[in-house]
Amino acid sequence: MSDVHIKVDHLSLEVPYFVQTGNATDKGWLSTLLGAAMSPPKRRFARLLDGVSFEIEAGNRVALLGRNGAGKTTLLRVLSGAFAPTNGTVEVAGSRQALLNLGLGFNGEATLVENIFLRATAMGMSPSDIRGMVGSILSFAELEEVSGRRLSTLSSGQRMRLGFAISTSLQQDIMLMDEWFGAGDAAFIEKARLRMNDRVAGSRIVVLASHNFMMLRKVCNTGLVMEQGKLAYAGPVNDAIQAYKDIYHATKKKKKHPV
Amino acid sequence: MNSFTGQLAKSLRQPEFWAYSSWLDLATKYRRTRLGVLWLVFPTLMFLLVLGNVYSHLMGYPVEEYLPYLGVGYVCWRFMLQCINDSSSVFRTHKAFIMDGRVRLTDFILRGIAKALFNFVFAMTVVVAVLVWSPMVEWSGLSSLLVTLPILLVNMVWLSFCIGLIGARFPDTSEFIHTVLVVGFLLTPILWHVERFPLGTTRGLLARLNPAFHLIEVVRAPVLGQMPETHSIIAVALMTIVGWLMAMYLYRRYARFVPLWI
Repeated sequence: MSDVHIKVDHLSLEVPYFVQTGNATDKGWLSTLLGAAMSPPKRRFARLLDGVSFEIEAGNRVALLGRNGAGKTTLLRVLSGAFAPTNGTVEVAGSRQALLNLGLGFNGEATLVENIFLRATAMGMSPSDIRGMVGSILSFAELEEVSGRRLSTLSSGQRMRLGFAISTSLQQDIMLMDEWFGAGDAAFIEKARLRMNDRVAGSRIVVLASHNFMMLRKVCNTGLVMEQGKLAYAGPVNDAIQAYKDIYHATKKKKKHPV
Repeated sequence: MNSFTGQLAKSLRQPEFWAYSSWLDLATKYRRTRLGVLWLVFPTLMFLLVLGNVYSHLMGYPVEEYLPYLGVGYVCWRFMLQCINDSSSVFRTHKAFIMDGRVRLTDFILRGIAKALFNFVFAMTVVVAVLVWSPMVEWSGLSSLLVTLPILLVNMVWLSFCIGLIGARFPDTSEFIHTVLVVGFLLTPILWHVERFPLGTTRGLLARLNPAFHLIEVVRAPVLGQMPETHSIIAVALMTIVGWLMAMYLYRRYARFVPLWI
C-alpha cells in the first residue's frame, strides 16, 4: 500500500488523426456537399503530449490545470492506461479508478439491478462482492423503489446518480477525475460532494482536472499546469493556479495586441 | 506489453464481464417482445423448414438427408458470420470502455464470440431436433460435435482478434466484410453439396480454396457420419496454427495502438 505512486518520465504521445483537405468556406453549396462525401481524409500525426515529466507521491491531491485542448484529458487517459506512451515511461503503482464517463456501458433495456451488475463486473468486481453492494448503491442513488424498472425509463439525472453511485462504490488507491460532474438536483449534489470528499480522503492519490479554482483549492495540495502538451508548471496548488492565470492572461493580451 | 495468449488466459479466468454483458445483451434484446427468447429459435426453424424443403427438391436431394446437411452448415455459417461481423468494429463499439482504461482487448473479443455462441446454442436446438428426426443420422455423429465445435471456436478467437485489429486501423474493413459475407453464403457449400464440383476441376479447386468451407465441413461431415475430405482436415489444422501465430504477432506488434486508432 505504501508504495502507491505515479512516475512519469519524458512522456510523449503522438496520435494519428484525419483531416479533410477540402475547404468548404469558399465554394458553392454543391461542391461543399460533394466535398463532404468525396474528398479523401488525410492521415496526420499530432503530438498531444511532449516531454512531460513529473512524480506524484502517495498522499498528494493534484489539480490538473490547462486551457481547452492543452492535454489534460489525454494525460488522464495515459495515466488510466488507455494510451500507451509513444516515448518515455509511465509508472502507476496501485489500484486506480478513472471517473471519466459516468454512463459507461449501461444497457437501457436492462433493469437497474442488472445494470449495477453490468457496470460492476466491468470494473472487475466479483459477483459475490456485487451482491453485497447492490442495496447500498441503490439507496445512495435514492432509486430503491424503481430497482426493477428498465434503465431507459429513468431521467438523465437519475441515470447520472446511478452511474455516480456505482463508480464511487469502491475505494481505490488512485482516482483520476475529469471535471467535477454537476448534474442532479441540489440535494444530490451535496451528497455527491460529501462522498467525493470521503473517497478523496481515502485515496492515496487524486488527480483532478477542472477549471473550478474554488474546488481545486479546497481539494488539492499541488497542481500541474499543461500548455500545448507540455508541462508548464508543477508546484503548490495556489502557485499553479496563478501560473495558469498568467498563461491565460498572456494569451489574451497577445490576441488583443497581435505582435 | 502482454502477450495475446496471456491476456486471453486472464480474460478466461475472469469471465464475469464479457459473459454477463453478452448474455444481458441477448436477454434484453427480446424483452419488449411477447415471445421473448423464442425469437432466437424461430429464424432457424423457418429457414430449415421452408428453405430446406424447397431446396431439397430444387437440388434433387432426399429431404431426410438434405435437412441435417443444411441445418448443421447453416448454424455454423451463422455463428462464424456473427463472430466476424461483430469483430470488424468491436474495438470502436467499446471505445468508451477502452478510453476509461479497460484495455484488456481480449475481453471485447470474447464478448462478441460469447454473443454469437449463445445464438448458436439456441439455433442448435432446432438442428438437433432435425438430426434426431432424420433416419440418416446416428447418435455417434452427434457426439463428434464435442470435438469439432471447440476447433471451430478456437479458430474464431484468432480470426475475431485479427479482424478486430485490422478493423480498428481501417474502418473499411467492416464494409468489406459485409460485402464478402453476403456473397460468401451462396458461394460456400451450405445449400449445395461440394460434390457438384469434383476435385480436379477448376471449379472444384476454387470451391476448396474457401476457408469457410473447410471449417464447416470439419464440423458437418462427422455429424452426418462421414469423414471430412483430407484437404479439409489439413486446411483447418493449418488455419489454426498459422492463425494463432498471426494473432500473437499482431497483438505484440499493434495492440498498444488500438486506443489511438479508434
